[in-house]
Amino acid sequence: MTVAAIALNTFREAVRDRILYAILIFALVMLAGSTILVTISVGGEVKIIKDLGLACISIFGTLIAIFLGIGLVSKEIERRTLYTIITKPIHRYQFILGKYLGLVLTLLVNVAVMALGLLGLAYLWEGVSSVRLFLAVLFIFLELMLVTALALLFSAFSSPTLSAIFTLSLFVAGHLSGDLRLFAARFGGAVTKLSAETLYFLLPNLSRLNFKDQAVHGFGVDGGSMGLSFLYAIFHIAALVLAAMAIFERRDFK
Amino acid sequence: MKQDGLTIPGLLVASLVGLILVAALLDGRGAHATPGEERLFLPDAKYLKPMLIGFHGVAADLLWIRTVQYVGTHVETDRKFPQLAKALNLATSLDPHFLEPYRFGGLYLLYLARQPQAAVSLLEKGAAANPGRWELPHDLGRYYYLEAHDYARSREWWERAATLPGRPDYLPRFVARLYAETDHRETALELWSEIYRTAQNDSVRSLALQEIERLKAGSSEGPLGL
Amino acid sequence: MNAIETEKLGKEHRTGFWRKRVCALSQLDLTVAEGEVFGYLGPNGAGKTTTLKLLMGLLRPTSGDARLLGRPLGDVRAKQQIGFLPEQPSFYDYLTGRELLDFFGQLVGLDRSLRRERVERLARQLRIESALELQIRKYSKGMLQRLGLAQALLNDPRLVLLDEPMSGLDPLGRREVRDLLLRLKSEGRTVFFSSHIIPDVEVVCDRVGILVGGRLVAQGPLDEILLARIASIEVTASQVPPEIMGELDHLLVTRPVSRGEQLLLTVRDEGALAELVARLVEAKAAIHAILPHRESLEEYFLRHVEPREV
Repeated sequence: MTVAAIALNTFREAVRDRILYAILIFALVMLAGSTILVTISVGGEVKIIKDLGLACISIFGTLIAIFLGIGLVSKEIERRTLYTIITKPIHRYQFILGKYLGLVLTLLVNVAVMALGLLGLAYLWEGVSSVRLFLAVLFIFLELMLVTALALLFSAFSSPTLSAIFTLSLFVAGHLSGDLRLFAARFGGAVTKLSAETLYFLLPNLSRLNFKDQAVHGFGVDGGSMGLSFLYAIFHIAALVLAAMAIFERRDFK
Repeated sequence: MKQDGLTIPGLLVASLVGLILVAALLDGRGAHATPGEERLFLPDAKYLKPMLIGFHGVAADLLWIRTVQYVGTHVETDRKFPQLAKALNLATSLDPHFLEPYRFGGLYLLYLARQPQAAVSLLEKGAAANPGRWELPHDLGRYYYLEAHDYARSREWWERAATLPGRPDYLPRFVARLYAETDHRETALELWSEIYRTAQNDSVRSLALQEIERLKAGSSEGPLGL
Repeated sequence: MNAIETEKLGKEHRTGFWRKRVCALSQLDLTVAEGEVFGYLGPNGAGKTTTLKLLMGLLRPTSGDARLLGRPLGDVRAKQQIGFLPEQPSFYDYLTGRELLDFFGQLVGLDRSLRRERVERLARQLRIESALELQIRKYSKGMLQRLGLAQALLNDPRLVLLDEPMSGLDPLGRREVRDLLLRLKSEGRTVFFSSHIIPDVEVVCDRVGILVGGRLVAQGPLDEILLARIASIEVTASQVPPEIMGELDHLLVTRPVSRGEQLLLTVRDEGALAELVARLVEAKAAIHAILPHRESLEEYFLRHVEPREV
């Protein structure tokens, strides 16, 4: 009940924030715009709609995850609203979990709205509903949950600005971590290889959660890999949220 | 409170162990083993470029790096390069003045993927987009000289390259030789030495070395049977 | 059982680039009995807020220990019976007063009907009924303070910890808070509150603790602490023959002040007073008043701060 109350209140805060609506409306306009764009294309209409739609969900979802995530804890400390919360009969980890789930709920609603738009458009053009597209959206959502957990972790010990920089850097690095490893394996010396290998395991490998191409081109997706990728995301998220809890547990609030 | 202090780190360690396990399993399956494969499906530059909101230069760089990885991986495995031409085309459309994808891409297409038609159109696209650069007409001339044995075309391109600033010293000499139609072996040797000297990548360098040794030995058969 | 017990409780902060240690609170031994109203006094920066944050688990002590309602610091079951008002409280300003109190009611584990009832009752008691449906961002400072008091009392606490509950209030508001504290006491609750203003605490406190520079310098009923020391005694006299003024000089702590006919003479203690009065009577001067001047809290603070700074 405590965690749910904190989560719902975090959701309520986001819902009352105008920024969220600005982002959502912009995303929906972009989605609608893709249908205009395809009229000047020759062939590949559905592909373009799907490409743009998935990109929209991913980009705007990431924007929401980062910009709301970086303030999840640090803003509460800065504005001292935290003082009357964690002195209530609750555990500190419940606060962290509640804040995290609240933002995840916010993302869920936003992604659902955008995904409904995209699935609807795809259905209009193709006449069939695409399970693969739905799966791609699911993995985008998992990626957003992971990015949110990253932002939460940084938010537990640094300022919003620093958190934004850290989260964005890790987001980019997370998409390139596969290349990093390959690159080091090809050209680096032993030390480079070892540090690249360590980084590779520490950094979230976000390309593992990218099933956009499979969705757009309708390739067969290997169920086992998908299941493992799902587990990968879950373990990563759990580790990040637990790390945020461990840090928050020992913090002093001056 | 103490109890929580113990369970959170405990759970944290457990999820890290799970994470590494799953990551290792995923790597084992090779689901997304090569990042090049993940970007197998390349959108049309026409749509991609406006979406990159001014960052198309960076996108071209990243795509080029990925393409090099893609080539490297497939050289070691199946020696098939189905997406190479498309990737090079996209990279050069995103940044038409980025010369490496034309030049090394041309070499890859010719000698690794064996798609001379794609190589020629890539280089021609580069030459059209960069009329002030000697490199692309130079490479086209080299193709016609070494591979197509079309000396008239070769001379046309090299004559054009020879007028451009920064061209290598040997170009006027080659043009002269072509008018005289003599000593093709010497020209080929110099061309491959130049490729060897400027190569930025092992697969290209070893290819050049093979060719040089073959020419010195006086054989006429190419390493790839071309 | 004691409501609050601290044993050598201390907190050092590390600040600046060199992580220099700054002692915010040192070796605090404090006991507050259940049912008591305890005023925690001290100038700004003495460590009052640090103490409250340590007790509420917002800071972790670097030394010593404390128990609230017999349980260790940060214990959730203890917090269930504690209400806390931080200094200059700040709340989610996108909520209305009612939404905030309802949310806090969920955190303290009240069911829906009980939350509704408590919120209504506390809003009435603290006179914020009219603002309940207003977004908190539109609240005045005084309203915020009242809302803060309401949220501290939501869980019907046995122990209430209030950090500067009267700051930001007008005289009427201060009076209301004073009455509230007295009512909490009559309901058998323990109240521990900090303040740096003496009239706030005089009437309501059973006992006070005085904190200066991170150290507890006195603990006990306020009268005893302040009256124990008489700073000076003023004697008002007239018809003092000018020729004896020279003999009085060594008794006075300040130069005589003349007020029309009358002369204001200040001596340090009773011994000096006896001698002064004897001389005045001898010289047939008229004595109008003898007024012991007790030390103010501010003077008390100053007396304890100064030696430290020398």
